[in-house]
Amino acid sequence: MADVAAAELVDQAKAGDRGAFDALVGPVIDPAFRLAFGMLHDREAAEDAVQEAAFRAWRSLGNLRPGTDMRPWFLAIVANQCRSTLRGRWHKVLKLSGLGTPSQGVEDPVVRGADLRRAIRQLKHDQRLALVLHFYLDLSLEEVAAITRAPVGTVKSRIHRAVVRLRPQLEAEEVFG
Amino acid sequence: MNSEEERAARARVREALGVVEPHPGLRSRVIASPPAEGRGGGASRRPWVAGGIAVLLALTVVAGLMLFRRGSPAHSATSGQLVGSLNMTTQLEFRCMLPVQGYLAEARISLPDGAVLVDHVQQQARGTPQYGSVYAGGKWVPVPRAWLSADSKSYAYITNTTGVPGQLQTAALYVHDIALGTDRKLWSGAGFTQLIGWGPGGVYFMFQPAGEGKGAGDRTEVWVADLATRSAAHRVGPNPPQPAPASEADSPIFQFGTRIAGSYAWSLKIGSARPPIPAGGGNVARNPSQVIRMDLNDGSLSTWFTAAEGTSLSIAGTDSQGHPILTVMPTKRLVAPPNSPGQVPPADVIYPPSPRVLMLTGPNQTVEIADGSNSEFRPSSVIGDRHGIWFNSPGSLWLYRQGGLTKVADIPASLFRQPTPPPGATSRNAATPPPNFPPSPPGFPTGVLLALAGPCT
Repeated sequence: MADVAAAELVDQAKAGDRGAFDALVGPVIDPAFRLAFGMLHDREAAEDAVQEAAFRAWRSLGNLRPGTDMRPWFLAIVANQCRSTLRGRWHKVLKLSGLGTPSQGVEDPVVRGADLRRAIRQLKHDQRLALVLHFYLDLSLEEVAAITRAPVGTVKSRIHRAVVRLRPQLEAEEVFG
Repeated sequence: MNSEEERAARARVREALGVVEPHPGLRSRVIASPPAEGRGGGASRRPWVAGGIAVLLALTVVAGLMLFRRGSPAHSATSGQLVGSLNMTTQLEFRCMLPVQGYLAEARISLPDGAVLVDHVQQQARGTPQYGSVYAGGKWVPVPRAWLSADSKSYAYITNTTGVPGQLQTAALYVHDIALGTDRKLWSGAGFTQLIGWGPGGVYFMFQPAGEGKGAGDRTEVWVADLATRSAAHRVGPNPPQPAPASEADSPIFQFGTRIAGSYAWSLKIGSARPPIPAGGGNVARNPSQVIRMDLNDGSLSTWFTAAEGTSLSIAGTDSQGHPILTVMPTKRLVAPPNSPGQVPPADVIYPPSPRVLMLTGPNQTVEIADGSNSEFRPSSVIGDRHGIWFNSPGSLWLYRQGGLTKVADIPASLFRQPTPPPGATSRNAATPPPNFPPSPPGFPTGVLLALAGPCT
């Protein structure tokens, strides 16, 4: 029954019904924004990424199978959009200029956070995505696997490698925290 | 990775990324992205049709984004650029971010550590007046706080046209939707207006009907514009009629400087100057100024405070309960500007004493926040929040809470640099002071005067 209702919503959204599109996508805007912010570390870029992802989602409604869970489906599109944004030349230029020069041993919490954020930015995309989804959005490994279209074992491995790479910053936090 | 290590790592990552909430308008912006005519097409259409539609849709989105950017000059606050830290002089036991504006920089101060994160630096340009900035809903909005709606989703502004030969001066009131970047005209009329702010029932503005002259204040009215009906209603005025032409306004002028808090607007009735006015400039006596409260529900006016003879008065802001915060300058005389070259005002006018600062809690009932004896405390910007009442002062930041005023921090001059004029621009302030210009007295504070741009959240 729920699938039938969802299928109707999809059909209505395809036909240009904004209310139906809102019913489908609206509930996942907040986690989508948090995912984009966790990946891009920039509020405005995150909002743009979510907007662009919504447009892509709307274009892809025809490919949506009945019974598909909207949240992992839409978050996967947001993740792809973030990857595109990060590949963009302008984003790199802007981010490089905004990195700052936090120094080791400074006890300021903002500076320490900047160290860790910078280290997260330097992770490989797959590791960064798995880390943000699991640690920042608090999604289960199974849901992370659904979003990234990877086996649960692979997701675990990516998170483990990410934590290993972040260990110097994480341990520095422990020392000064 | 054991569970304890994972728990710690999770906590550190969350702390580093922070808790962020999307702008309230993001959902509507996102849902409005696809074109209204429907997706159409689909697998059954020919590829060239689908491709053409895709191109059109892409162009629509690009155009929409461009319009959004142009129409909404609000700036998102990112994680900010760390530029340094205040020198904390008080150890605060709470954590919050205090938005401030210093010269052209829009920044947030992380408390209690004092780290300064600059979100945006305004561009210097000719012909683009800047009235201030307010930080709300995670964004910087380039308007004074009073212009922003209570839900931070819109701001009001006014346009005035003048100088067209043979035509009356006209004014119009608009409301700008920050998320959508759209403007709605609420009201227009023949005359001069100034915005007061948002209050019960809509947007309040001062109106001088055409032909009454600008700035004289001899017939000012207060109007309220209703957003739902797009109509404006006359709320009060003209102000009490003047028995005789006065040299200056002797009635409350509800315009810039008026503060709306709850159901009341607070304004000043500036005491008129008493003759004789020295021909060559000099000291001028004034009648005492008064604080006037307007009940926005019925437009009734009442006097809540009368300054002592020989003092001047201003309303610096309100606390979180809506009590006006007054500054009272112990200046016995105000000075008419000198009209001969090289003549400078007296030193006590250039370097006035520190003001008394009072909180108005009832008709002629005040609580003293500062007695005027601390030469370092010279506030001009006030904001009340759940932590207390924040004050600025040249080179320092102050907080009044639990009946006591304390200096929270000193502001190093290096954090907020004074802008230099753009290339080719002539600086109006570059003139060398005349030789007889008095030096600043010992202890007179210098440094950046931060404008407080929102509560500490």
